[in-house]
Amino acid sequence: MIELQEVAITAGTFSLHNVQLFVPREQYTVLMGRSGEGKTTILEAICGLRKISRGRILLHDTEVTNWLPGDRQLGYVPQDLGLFPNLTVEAHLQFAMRLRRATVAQIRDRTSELAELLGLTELLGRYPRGLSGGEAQRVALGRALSFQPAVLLLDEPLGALDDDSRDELIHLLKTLHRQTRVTVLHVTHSQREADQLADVIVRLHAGKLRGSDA
Amino acid sequence: MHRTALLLGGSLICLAILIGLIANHARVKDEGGSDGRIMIYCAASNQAVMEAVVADYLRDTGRVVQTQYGPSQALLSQLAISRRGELFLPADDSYVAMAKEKHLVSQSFPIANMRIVVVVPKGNPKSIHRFSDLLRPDVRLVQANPETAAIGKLTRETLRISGDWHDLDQATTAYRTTVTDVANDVLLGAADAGVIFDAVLQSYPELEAIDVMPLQLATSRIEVGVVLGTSRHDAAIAFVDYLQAPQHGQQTYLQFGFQSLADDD
Amino acid sequence: MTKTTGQEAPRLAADCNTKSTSVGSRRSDIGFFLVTGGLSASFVVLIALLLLADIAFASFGQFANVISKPEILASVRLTLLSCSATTIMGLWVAVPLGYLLARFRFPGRWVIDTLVDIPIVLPPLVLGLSLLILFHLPFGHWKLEHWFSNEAGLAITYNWPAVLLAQFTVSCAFAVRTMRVTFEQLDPRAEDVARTLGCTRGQAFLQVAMPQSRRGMVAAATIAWARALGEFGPILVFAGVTRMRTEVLSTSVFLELSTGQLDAAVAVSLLMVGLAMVVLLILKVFGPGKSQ
Repeated sequence: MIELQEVAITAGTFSLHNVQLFVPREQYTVLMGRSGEGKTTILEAICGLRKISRGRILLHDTEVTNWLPGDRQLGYVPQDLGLFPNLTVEAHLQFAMRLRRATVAQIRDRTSELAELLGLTELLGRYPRGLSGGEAQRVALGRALSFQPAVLLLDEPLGALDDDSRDELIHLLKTLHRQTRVTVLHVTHSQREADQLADVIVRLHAGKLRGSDA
Repeated sequence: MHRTALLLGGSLICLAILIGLIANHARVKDEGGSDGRIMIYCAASNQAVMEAVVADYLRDTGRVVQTQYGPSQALLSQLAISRRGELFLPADDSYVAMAKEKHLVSQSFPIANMRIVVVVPKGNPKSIHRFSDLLRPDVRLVQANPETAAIGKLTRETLRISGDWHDLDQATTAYRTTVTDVANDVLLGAADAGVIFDAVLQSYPELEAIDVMPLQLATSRIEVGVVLGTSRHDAAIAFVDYLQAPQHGQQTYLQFGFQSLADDD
Repeated sequence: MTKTTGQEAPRLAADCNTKSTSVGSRRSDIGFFLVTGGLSASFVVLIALLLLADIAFASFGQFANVISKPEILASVRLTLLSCSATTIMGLWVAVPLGYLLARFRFPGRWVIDTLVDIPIVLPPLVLGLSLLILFHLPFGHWKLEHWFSNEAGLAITYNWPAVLLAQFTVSCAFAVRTMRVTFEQLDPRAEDVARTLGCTRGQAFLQVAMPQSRRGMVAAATIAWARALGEFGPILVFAGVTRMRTEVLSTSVFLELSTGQLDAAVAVSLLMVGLAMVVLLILKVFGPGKSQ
């Protein structure tokens, strides 16, 4: 699970104070709020990509406030995806495994498993430049899940998609969550997405979080 | 990741090879008696003759003399900063005197003399014969800077005595850093006349010299100074002897249009 | 002013209609091309004229004579070797330094930024002079130059290491600038994600940032090589011009000029131009063609 205790973050001219957040284990939590209020900043802080000025961050009851991003073992899909322009889809899926020095067999198996799950088998040889919005989204998801993290952070994953792709992806996210029981924190401004996906809804309003169950 | 590793490793290997080759390159001409190798700071105006003498010296003794050329003042500055080198040969003995004052040079030896001439393109198209011709508005006159080059300094001194310096200064179209720059300007047609040492003329068969009073009375004495505190004192003196020897250095200096010391009054 | 009545409006609309279909209301881009073409051409033509003037000045016979002189051949060799070595060294410094300056805000960053740009704005002679002073400044009884010659057996001033150092100081500064701009234009998001996937900063740099910067690296290498080739002032003052030892093509031109061999000077200059064009072409061909 994810827990933020009395966290304060300053990002340029923008700041959040006394953020208290509890994301329950294995649940699909949706964080809602208007654009620019700090949802992305909170995700970045959880990842360790942004320093917090006060407070503690805990993952699965362990304090990770000062840990490097790489040690926190989370899957992160940013809003603009952050795909690697010079790597193929296949290389994206293999990236995390290679870092962890998995065997060739393990990598091969996991890659085909992910490709199958996300419908990427035909696209393995492509580069990010040649992918549609929906395809790119799935590659980013696959990359984040490739090392079977216990926590998955999604920043507006459905934002840039057309209606069909969006429905496909919602279905996919539900399936993934059900199969892997990964703890999900999904950030969005869309009530509809929240209604369709969330087990728990948390709202960010004027720098404070208010929680409610879906 | 493999490509990056290859790039990094490969570039280091390339670099090592290149540096090895460079170090070798500089060593190629390094034969016997590398400890006796001396360096001489030599004025630009003396470059042609010095190259010849150094080549003869190498042939006759097998010893290498490293040369560093430039305008006299810049050479003095380099010597002052680096304190390296064994010999200092500016185009004018006044620089040697300065070097002695600054405790950079211990002893000096006369080598040759040079005289001041006005250089014009062959055929003297602007009909320059006298000093007043240099002041004409249709004559673009180029000189070497009195602060940097011996020729400029000597010209200014000579003309200050006769009271003509101010006029010539006003008539000078441009000041150049070295005496060879002046000759180049006349050669290229950027100037109609230039004030140079007669010895420099050797390298410019396309130009001719005009003797002009009062400049032709001035003599520049070339002296070579031995750098103070050099560890290769003997090697330095050996080269000085060669420079002063009538059948070696002196003969070459004469060939290159200098006046020998015997002409001293 | 008369009040506009409802009757005015239809006529206005009619005018608009006729205007949009009448000939002569179409615009053309010719003006743009003439102006930009003219401005660009004036510069390109100037360069072309300079080259043509040089070619006209030098005769072919002289050219062949000059380049077969052993001193010139040695100079070409040293030039190629030193410029290449300088470029590699420059990239080794410029890529990480450019990355640091592009990605990290640390106290005193502006100081580093300014220092790196100094070799670019300093007159080359001042740079050469400063190098000379640095190596010979006495700290009590200790001099940098002596440390090198005693500890490493390496004489720097007036020797080949001075050539490399003089070239490196300037060309690296240009390379750093290029790499900093390159990295600034890369989306840091990809590196962020790489870090969450388990990369250390170093791994993210090597596996994500560097591969994306290949075009920038070629550009940096090109500019570093070109600046090293053209470097003259610092080499003259710090490395000297000793034939067969520290002579590179830029100082060869100087030497030929100082002895009044203008033909030879121009011949060597044209040689430099030819050499530069060959190397730039090679870098263009072997650099990454497509943008990533």
